[in-house]
Amino acid sequence: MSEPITRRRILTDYRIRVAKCEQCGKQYFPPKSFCDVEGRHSKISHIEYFNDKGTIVSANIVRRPTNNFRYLDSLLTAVIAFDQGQIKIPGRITDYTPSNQEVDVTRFIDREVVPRFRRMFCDGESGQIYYSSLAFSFTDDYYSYQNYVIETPSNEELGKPGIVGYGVYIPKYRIKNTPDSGTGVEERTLPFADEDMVTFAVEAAKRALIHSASPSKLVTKCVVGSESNPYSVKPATSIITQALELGERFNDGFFTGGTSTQFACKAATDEFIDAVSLVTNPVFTDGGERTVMVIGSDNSQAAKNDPLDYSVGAGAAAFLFGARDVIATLDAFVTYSSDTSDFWRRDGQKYPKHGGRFTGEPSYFKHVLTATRRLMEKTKLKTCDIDYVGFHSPNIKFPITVAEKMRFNPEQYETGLIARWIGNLYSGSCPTALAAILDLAKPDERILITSYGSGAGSDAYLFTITEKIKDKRERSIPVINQIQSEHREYVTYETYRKWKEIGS
Amino acid sequence: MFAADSHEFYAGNTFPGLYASMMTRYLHDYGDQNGKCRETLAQIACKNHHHALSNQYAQFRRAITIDDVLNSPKVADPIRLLHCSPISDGAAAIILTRPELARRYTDTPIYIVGSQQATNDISLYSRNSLTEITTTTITVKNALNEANLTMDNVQLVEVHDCFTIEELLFLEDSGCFKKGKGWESIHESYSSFKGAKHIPFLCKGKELIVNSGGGLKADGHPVGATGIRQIVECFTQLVGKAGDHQVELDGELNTALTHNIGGTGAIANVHVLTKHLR
Repeated sequence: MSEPITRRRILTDYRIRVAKCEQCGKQYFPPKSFCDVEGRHSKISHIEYFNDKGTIVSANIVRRPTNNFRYLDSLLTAVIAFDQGQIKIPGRITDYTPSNQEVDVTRFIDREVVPRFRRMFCDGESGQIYYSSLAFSFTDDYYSYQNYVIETPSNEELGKPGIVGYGVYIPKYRIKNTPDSGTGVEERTLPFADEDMVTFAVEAAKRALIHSASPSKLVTKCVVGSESNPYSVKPATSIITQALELGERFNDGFFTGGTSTQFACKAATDEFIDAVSLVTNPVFTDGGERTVMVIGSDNSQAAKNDPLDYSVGAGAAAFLFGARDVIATLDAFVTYSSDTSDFWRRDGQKYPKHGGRFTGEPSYFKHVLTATRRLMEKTKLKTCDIDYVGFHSPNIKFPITVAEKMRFNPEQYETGLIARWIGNLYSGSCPTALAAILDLAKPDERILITSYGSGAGSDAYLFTITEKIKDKRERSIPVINQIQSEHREYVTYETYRKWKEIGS
Repeated sequence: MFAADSHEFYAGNTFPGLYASMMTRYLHDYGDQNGKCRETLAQIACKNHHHALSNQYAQFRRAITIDDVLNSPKVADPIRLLHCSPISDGAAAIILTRPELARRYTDTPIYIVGSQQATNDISLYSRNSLTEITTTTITVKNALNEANLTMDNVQLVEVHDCFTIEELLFLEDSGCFKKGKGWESIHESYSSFKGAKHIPFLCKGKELIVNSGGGLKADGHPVGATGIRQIVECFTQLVGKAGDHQVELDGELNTALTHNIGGTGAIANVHVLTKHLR
């Protein structure tokens, strides 16, 4: 697909943009500049269905996909109606693998679906990757529908900065670690064939916006930490910004910046301190209120049969930082790093290499413990003053070892040990543990998290929960609910490798 | 095969997939619980193969059964391979002239008394209904008006049966049968068929032959040549030179109609042909 066509399609397909005639109400997809009924003098406005749910009008299962969709053996496509049938659009149903037996497709009619931001296809190995929200999943399946309602901010003055909203997205598909891999990770998440770290990030950030009820136009920076960006050169953040309309919109662009960061598994947490610094900086906020989105997202990479291949997961966690209606204030911070080569991936190489046993003692433990201890000293807190701790979890043994050395008890660290069920989310690992803790934490409780990024470094943060968390909790989709969803599906090792490779 | 609308194509749909969506909706809105409607859509393929048996130009001169259709490879559920026409190689030609000059060249001219074309959205999803081809409705109505005839006068139709659902939709959109009721009549006609060379459908109390040479399904679908091939089929039938697959009616065969569409009905061409001018 040529670049000009791609750009036009981005504007229509990322947010399902539809033209609506102001006079007669008729809607058009793709959008057009005049109404068939009212003529060229008609007044056209645009509406978007990105945050709505649609209904299937009809469907079929393509058993012989076109070359672009060969990566799916067969696929369910559908005509989807929005706005009580005022507009119909074509779509592909995702997170669904048709049975080899003939399927009674009529049973899909009238089922509700929700738009998902997914890969559609790629132009070969080196061409562009085409994303679109013309992918949908069933609302009564794994991915439930949430409306994005912006609430009027409270009257409180801008105060101590922190988290104003968060969201986690972990995919529907799982693989069991059987026999026991020895990592303590019992099962792991993996991408569906059309997912990658960009699509994870969009879903997590979408949930963070919904949870915050804060306007997306306030987001003035979006930072994405990852080590599985599908592009070596092209920012994931611009794709996410366009899909979620982050920042003030102008001429189909946005007054929003951001970068894709890389510091192995701490690429996201490294940005937490930057985020809270920015939202209180008058130059950044321009005298008003601004927010910063920080996302950790990875389709965690591992070579086939490498020890990592039995611990890696997939998913993302997103945090919206601001200075009003904060659910958790960021109270203290320590970062610690050294040139320690325990894990790396050379440019152009597909999979990381690692230092085996070297990754533990001089790498993970040294940095995590040093940062955590320094934070405790700095804040003059004792372990009993902390309610929850969360550590980067390349496996289960490492974070438990740290917790025990620091004399934290299981009640403090078990909540953050979700890697047991989702695997190592790399840049998303520690952030997802934080989200799992936020799902349960009560006002005035303290959370300590310490990330770890190979290469190597650790960021330790102390958060304190505010009363606001109670107001926003009903809008969160708890991590544990995603982990235990009755709709999760398990795949074979062969399918896991195949889908993981596509999205890497 | 690609879907013509780029949004349908980039959402993963295919040309058979679009017709499959039309069939899905039809089965949902008008089908029955006993599977008879699905059986009818297989019967249409069997009927067209049966018609092709005696057509020396047909691509598939072999009989197929309902089970053959329902067990053929899946293309786009609910469409299976034997619900689909092939893509064929071939050519067809006709010589056209003004009616007053026709007898200079032949003793048996066939007159085009209605010729209409209509267009609609190329994308299936933009249409009001997935179970009606509006261009068919408009062109059939206008062509018959132009000819000062009704469907009751038509004895033979060549329908664009690229997929069997399309033949069923034509028979309803053209007014032969009420919307949603066509399959019941076809099922009854096919089931009561006693072994003649053509299987007529009982339409409003009279017999209507549909796709006498096998249609796109069995005669073949040389895409750009198909519309002319349909005219040739009707011409040879009307002049009585169809050989082994000549239609045999109680009365004289005088009026035929051809229906040729593009895409999923984005464009339709209908011609009404008669042996005798009234």
